[in-house]
Amino acid sequence: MLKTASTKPLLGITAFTLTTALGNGQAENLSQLQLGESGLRENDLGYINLPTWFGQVDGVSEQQLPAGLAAWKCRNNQLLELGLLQDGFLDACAKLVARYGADRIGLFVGTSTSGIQAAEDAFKERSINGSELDFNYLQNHNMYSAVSYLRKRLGISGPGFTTSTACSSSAKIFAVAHRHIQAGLCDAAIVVGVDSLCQMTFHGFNSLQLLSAKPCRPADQSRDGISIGEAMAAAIVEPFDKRSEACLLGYGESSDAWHMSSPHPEGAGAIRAMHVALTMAGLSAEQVDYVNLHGTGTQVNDLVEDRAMSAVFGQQAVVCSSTKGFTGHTLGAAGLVEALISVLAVKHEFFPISANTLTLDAQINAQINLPGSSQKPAGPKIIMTNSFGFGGSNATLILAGGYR
Amino acid sequence: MTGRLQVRVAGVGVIAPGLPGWQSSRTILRKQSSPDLQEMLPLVPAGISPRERRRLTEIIKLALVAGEDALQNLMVPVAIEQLSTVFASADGDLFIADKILSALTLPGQPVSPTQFHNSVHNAPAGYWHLASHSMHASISIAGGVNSFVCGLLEAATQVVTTGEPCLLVVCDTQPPQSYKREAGSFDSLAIALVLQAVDCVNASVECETLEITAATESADASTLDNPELELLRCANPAARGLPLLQLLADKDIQSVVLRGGLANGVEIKRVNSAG
Repeated sequence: MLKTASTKPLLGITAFTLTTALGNGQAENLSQLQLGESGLRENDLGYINLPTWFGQVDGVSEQQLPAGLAAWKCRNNQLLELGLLQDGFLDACAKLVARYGADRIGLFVGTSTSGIQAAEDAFKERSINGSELDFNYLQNHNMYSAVSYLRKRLGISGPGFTTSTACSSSAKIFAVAHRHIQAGLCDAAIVVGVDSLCQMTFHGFNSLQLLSAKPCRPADQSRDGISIGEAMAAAIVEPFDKRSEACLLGYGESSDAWHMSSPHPEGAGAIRAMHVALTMAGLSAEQVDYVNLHGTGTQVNDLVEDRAMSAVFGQQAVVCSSTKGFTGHTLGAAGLVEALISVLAVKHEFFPISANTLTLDAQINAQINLPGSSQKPAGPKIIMTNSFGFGGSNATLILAGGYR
Repeated sequence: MTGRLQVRVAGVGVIAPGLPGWQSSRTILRKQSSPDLQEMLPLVPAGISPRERRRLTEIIKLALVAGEDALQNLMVPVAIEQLSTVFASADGDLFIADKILSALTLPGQPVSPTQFHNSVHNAPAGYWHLASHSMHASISIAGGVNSFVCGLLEAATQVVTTGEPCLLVVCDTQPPQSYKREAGSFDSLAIALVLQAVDCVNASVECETLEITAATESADASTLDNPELELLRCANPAARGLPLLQLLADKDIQSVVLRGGLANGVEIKRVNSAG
């Protein structure tokens, strides 16, 4: 599986699931990724009056929560629950509790906006009726909402918290889980990324002129912004062994120390994150087979990430793509969604294309896997995935396949 | 818990009404006397230009000033641009959330772009790294009422697994009117700790070494004798860390128990450097 003797898995992934605009669970996501079918659709939301496209998960607003957890009902936790029901993930969590004990399992969630959509509805209601604000702040809007929900839903009492570093949130929880396991605070962990559609992100990104009126087109010469998506992704991480379906080889975290909403012009923070991850994995850049780019589809972000890629990979032709043309930018969930898309790519031996990218920007040097390009003879073995967020928060993960 | 989680405290900061920095607060915490000042001193983060400062909300300024206080009280030299950071807050910036949510009810939904990018939970961290020029790792977390312990555990695991020093800042501010019913009503407070590895080369005997272990089921959470501070501890999630500051201020206190973080909470013990 691994190309160098110095490379040692930090953690094994023994179960995982993802629910995105492409579908619910591994199989539906895999099928759309292999077909090259984008999950983005044109805005038909009654409550968003903006020309835009987005990645919506079907069935979220109909999703029921178990009896006793009604106070947690909001779009983000409904999406969380829907995601838990896929790929036998709930059963895998129950087996994990039986294996290690409820107090020896860590629970780490990445989200950027939690259940703020419930507060949006309450503020709207107040503005119309002049009524008191009526919503469950702690169970919905508060950043800890998903963790408190999952503690009750899964019966877990080990260490746990929410990581919220904008669009790198759920990439960083692999690092958190590894540190907690290494320090002996827990033996295994459940890591979850979840973010759902809300007015705040649509209007916020629109105010920064970062929202495209068309489906987002990462690395395309005509790219003009992001498409927002919603998603839930989850994985169980344990010490690497025969049961592992994939493994974490390294992670790198860095700060841009540059600007709150624009990346460092030379991608200095991104370069640092990639270098730290490679060093930790004991790998050189040429050993990486595929990079899942952050690739949001804005003019500046894609160009800066490309500069960083050139600095790290030099002239080597590593296959790259952003999968945000498939799912939209799933914000706080993006790190884990894209890590798990990369795990699917390793497991099923294919290179995800850059959906919606028709004409590659001549200024982009990376070898972008364009739609219609011929499939490579062998799939990727070692993959890297980048996540960069507002506040200059960067995270890079390096993952590989499971025990063979 | 299997491992021994030991860290050294290289610096302490605290900012709240009545607790205007570690140097004057340590006496208050040791004697458990009533804080004199009832008003929060103006929050002026030195690392941010006056022009930029005007755009900062209270929680960002509070977090930055507490971090700067810890750096001013270092017992050993630690380079600010070499620090990783952990920022923890239960509620984050509800002042900005209130503004944005109100804007969304207006025609045209006029969300301010500055408020939007400052609304991320990691806004204080972003400004800290802008000001300190540190390109090291930074994480921003939320752990509900247990945010202080969650932040402490995250910072401690970073220190023991990387061997590098780490700045922890835990802060929560008085919620705006819209949120008082659900989030509670309390004074703002921030606590900052610079933690380093016990075996690092520039460690000083001045620094306290702490060992964090899982508390037993029967252990009672530490409280504060001073009624005003105890009220703050119960109401403001960040203030759940005050018993640890009291331990750091008072050599007679050997250990404290804080709820949360692990199933039964954590016990934090002073480690005798001679032992």
